[in-house]
Amino acid sequence: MKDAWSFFVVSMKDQASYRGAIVLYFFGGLFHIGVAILVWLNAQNTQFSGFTKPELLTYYLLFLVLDMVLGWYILHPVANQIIDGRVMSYILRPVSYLKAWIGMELSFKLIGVLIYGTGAGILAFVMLAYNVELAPLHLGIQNITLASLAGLCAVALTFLLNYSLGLLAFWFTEIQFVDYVYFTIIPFFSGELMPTTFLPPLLQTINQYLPFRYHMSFVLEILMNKVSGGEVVKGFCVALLWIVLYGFLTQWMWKRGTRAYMAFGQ
Amino acid sequence: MKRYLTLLHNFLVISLKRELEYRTNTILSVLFSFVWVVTTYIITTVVFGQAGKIAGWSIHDAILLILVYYVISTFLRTFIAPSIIDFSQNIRLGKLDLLLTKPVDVQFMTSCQKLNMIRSIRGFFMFVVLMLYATQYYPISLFTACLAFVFGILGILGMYAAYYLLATASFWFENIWNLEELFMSMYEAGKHPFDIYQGPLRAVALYILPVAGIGAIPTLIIRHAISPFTLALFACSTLFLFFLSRIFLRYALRQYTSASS
Repeated sequence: MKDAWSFFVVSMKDQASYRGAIVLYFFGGLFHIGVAILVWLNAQNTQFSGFTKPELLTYYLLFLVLDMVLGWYILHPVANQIIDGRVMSYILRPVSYLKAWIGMELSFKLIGVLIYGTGAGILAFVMLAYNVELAPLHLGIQNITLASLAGLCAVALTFLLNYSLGLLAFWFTEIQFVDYVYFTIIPFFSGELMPTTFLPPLLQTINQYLPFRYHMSFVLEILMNKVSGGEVVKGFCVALLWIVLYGFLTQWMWKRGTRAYMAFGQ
Repeated sequence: MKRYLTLLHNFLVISLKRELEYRTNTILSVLFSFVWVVTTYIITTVVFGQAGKIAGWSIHDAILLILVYYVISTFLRTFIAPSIIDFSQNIRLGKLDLLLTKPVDVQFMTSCQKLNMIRSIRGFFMFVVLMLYATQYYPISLFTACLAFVFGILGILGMYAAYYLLATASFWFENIWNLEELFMSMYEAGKHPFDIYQGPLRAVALYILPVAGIGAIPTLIIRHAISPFTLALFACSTLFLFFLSRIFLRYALRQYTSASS
């Protein structure tokens, strides 16, 4: 992991240089969740599928922080490096491209967690100041441990999925079409737009076997005690299966992609 | 004026050629954009199925709002957003120098040079659906339709100005790679029932960061649920924002020290 550490250090320095970008990132995320909270605060109903209104608001606050920790969105940076030829410097040197991205993204996450944690704290403070009720979290060693393990699965899943989608740039010079899938379908199934218990029953059943629930929703469900023991075991099995599949897929794509790749202007 | 129209025509042709060069991406983008439209509809029905009404808005009002929002935001994403993202990058990389030497307005060049034609296909499709939906559920006179159209244009102008003001900050911040992300988050705020914004937030959404203009204002006009005073104030604020963006650009250019020389 020496490669990853070196890239982590360089990336930390890089981000310290471009503080404006970090500030904007912070506002973007805060804005997004703030609006979602306002929508549900103004909902006519107070009971939703498996959630009360305070629980739902707590869900979005937790999401704000966890999305920064668990969502390793490297699709576009990876694709851009392949399209403009910068990936050549990794192919020609004895450095693992995958590990380089782990290091770079880890540094971004570290800064992001601090910023988003503060943001979520401020949002919670403002909500409590306006007498908005939030649900208390009943955290024990068991659900913290399980949520941490589910979190690790979520990181592996989002990272590998993003990485493999980014590698599509080896074959397609433009991958705008991926955005339509990634930013529409996945938020719907991952619990980003709303808890997955809001989905129609058929979609909920299908979603249990798709990887997207384990990107985020599964961790939140464990933290908020919304999932039973048997479902947790089943969830981990499905998540691990998808991690293995993604692992093979990324390895295969990297091997085939670097063989087919032609970099111009390098 | 003729020069600018010719330039716009040339930009359009070049963009179209570029999109057609990547045929697989174009075809898949068009196909997936229809999947996206269906998914958006399902999301809206699921949310309203859970919430009942949101801030007094029914599901019909919300669907109308979303259709208006996507038609207007498609226009912004097709004709303006790609160039503004490049504008920010060009400042950092020193490519702006080349644009500054050309005998045309800098703001025009940095706002319309790059177009994303794929998105316009989705916008056109949404426009047809909007027309069908609005005429079926809402009694619209020709005057109301014209007024909604004019305020849709003003909404585009207001959001464009806000985006441009933000992008101009690149003269100082150097690398704002999250500009698009921030703007998209702001944008998205426009597709929710407008009455969720109350007090100072409402004033901000109407007059300072006019997200209301890209969906709510034309929708409220169609629903006959907005006062003439608010409309007049909104029109004034968008025009003010536009002139502010021009003044700010001139100020920023005076501070600009080229990155390429």
